[in-house]
Amino acid sequence: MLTLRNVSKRFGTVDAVVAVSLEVQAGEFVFLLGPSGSGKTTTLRMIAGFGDPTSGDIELAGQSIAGVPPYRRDIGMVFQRYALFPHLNVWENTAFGLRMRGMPERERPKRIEETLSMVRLGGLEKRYPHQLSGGQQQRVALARALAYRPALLLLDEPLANLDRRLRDEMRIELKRIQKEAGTTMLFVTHDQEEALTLGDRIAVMHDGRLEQVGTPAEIYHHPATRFVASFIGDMNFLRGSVLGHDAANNASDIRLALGGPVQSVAGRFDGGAKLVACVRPERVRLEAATKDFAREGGGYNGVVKYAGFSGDSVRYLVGMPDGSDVLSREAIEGTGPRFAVGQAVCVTWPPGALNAFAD
Amino acid sequence: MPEAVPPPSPIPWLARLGRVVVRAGKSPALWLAAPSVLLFMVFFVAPLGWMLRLSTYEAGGKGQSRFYQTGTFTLARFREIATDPYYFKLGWITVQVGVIITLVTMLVALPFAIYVYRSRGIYKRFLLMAVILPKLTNLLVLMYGVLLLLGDTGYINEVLLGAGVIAQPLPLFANLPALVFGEVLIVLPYPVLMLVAAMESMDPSLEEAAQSLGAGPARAFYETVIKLMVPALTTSTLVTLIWGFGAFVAPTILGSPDYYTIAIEVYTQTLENVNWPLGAALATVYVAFVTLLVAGGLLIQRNAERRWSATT
Repeated sequence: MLTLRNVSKRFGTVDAVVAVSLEVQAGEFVFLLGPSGSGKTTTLRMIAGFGDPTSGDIELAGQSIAGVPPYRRDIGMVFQRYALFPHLNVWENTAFGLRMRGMPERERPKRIEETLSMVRLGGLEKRYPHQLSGGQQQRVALARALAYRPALLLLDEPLANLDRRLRDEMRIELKRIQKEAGTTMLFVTHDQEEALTLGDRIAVMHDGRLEQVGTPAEIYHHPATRFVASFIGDMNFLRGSVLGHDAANNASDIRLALGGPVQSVAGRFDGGAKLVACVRPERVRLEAATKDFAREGGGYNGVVKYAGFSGDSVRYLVGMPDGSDVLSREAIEGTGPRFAVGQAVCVTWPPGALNAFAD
Repeated sequence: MPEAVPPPSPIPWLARLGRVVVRAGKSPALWLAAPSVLLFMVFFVAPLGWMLRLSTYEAGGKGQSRFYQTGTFTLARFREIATDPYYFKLGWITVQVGVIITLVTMLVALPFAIYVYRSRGIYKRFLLMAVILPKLTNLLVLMYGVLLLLGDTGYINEVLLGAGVIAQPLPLFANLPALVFGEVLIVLPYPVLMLVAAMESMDPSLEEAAQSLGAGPARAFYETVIKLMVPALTTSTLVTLIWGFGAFVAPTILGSPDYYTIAIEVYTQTLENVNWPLGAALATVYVAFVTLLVAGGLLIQRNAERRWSATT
């Protein structure tokens, strides 16, 4: 229902957004995820109609919306600082869009009540924004944008100004509201946890470019670029070189700088090339080093440098012989850490846990 | 721990004042206000009291060495003001002049303030500087500058005469338009600065929010910025009105006797007719009128602000 085709935006000599193409299906909850300055907000604003793309096209419901002003687009927007109208109460704020879009006056009360009950603000209709808590203001912003049932709802970091507990609560609420309203939502955030927990799909942006689009699981387990791998979750990066390429399985054999056994990674890499492999800490397994694993080809030897207990899991930092560190996280079984600082351990991971990118 | 509650005083306002004094003794920060309070007492409250007393003396009369007769008390001056149609006419002219000045000033100030608000970067600073600049000049110098422009031998008439467009100098001063022009020049910086400050304090995304909700640019501007400016508009209109009713310099230099205001009459009575009590009585009536006006304006203001806080 929303299609971005090679959308670029240039401010003076700065390329804010470069050739972004993205397809959002009706009813989908899609995240634009990236660090600040990655062009995600600029992209969102172009979709909303605040600033036209320098090149490329944006289509809504199959029609190009290039040059269509924001007030004629069937799009709602939730602003980062809510931008509630301070001179209007909750009811009037929610009614604003209906009023501007010419909904007949007698149809408005029913719609407003429906919307306010959906965001659970019933009973607060007469309150002014400054009389509401941050979470309540957030709900008013949602109600205001949803009241006229736009085809698409854009959200610009709407949870960034809430404290952690409220944010967790609002995340669950947002998902429920999205399901209930059936609205297609495009959500801009720099918070990867938010994107992973809420998103049907995530579009990761970096330096104005789209790095990867995929489901949270795809993004997490099979990052397409080194940036995606480092931006989302914790990651161990290990240097290595390519031994050969297995065309039949679209895989390559590599050897890490750590030495050890030959590893297989997905993708085609040229023989002899340097690359960077990565593995998630929770996939890294530690075992007591009773034998010399490295010589037997089963794993890598290391020494525990740090063991951090965090209730449900333990994080180990393992010093490797070449001076690098490998992070491992494992769920607690029993009462505490299995390994102590200074203990020799063997590091392994299951096949397929390794992803590799050209260096 | 609850503080000890003092026993109720028979004179509540005195008790309240006492508490303020006691608190001031404990809090060094409150002493920072002392110089301004002192200044206010010495140069405003005391002269105001003196003016009130002065208005109830018998006049000393022309040719006499005294400006008023000490030890007397009369309300004759107020009776005179209330019954003589001359003073009624004077008050009416003052109100007319004040309202016209205010209307013209606000009609210039609002669009200009919006223009400044919309401007960006160094140009915006330049515009703000241009607003403040007249305030750096002496009022009289400013008015004589206007006279230099509008006078019979002023630039405009010189140019038009020299070009042969007109045979006689145009009567560009000593009339109402010239008076209003001069006074607007004096007053304009206040409402402009107040309005720009009010707009700057608003969340700039409000207009975008209104647009995303289906309002065109003009409607969005009206529904957010203009409506949110109501308190600032009230305050700045009030300030302008006070200036307008108190118009003195511009009517003296650029106006004609037809548009002499109460302020000028006070000056005439006090310094030319040396009738201090009459001057003081006129000033008292004027102060009472302006005070009522401000009180009324602030009441409207508070009712508007009680509904929503202007700062968020």
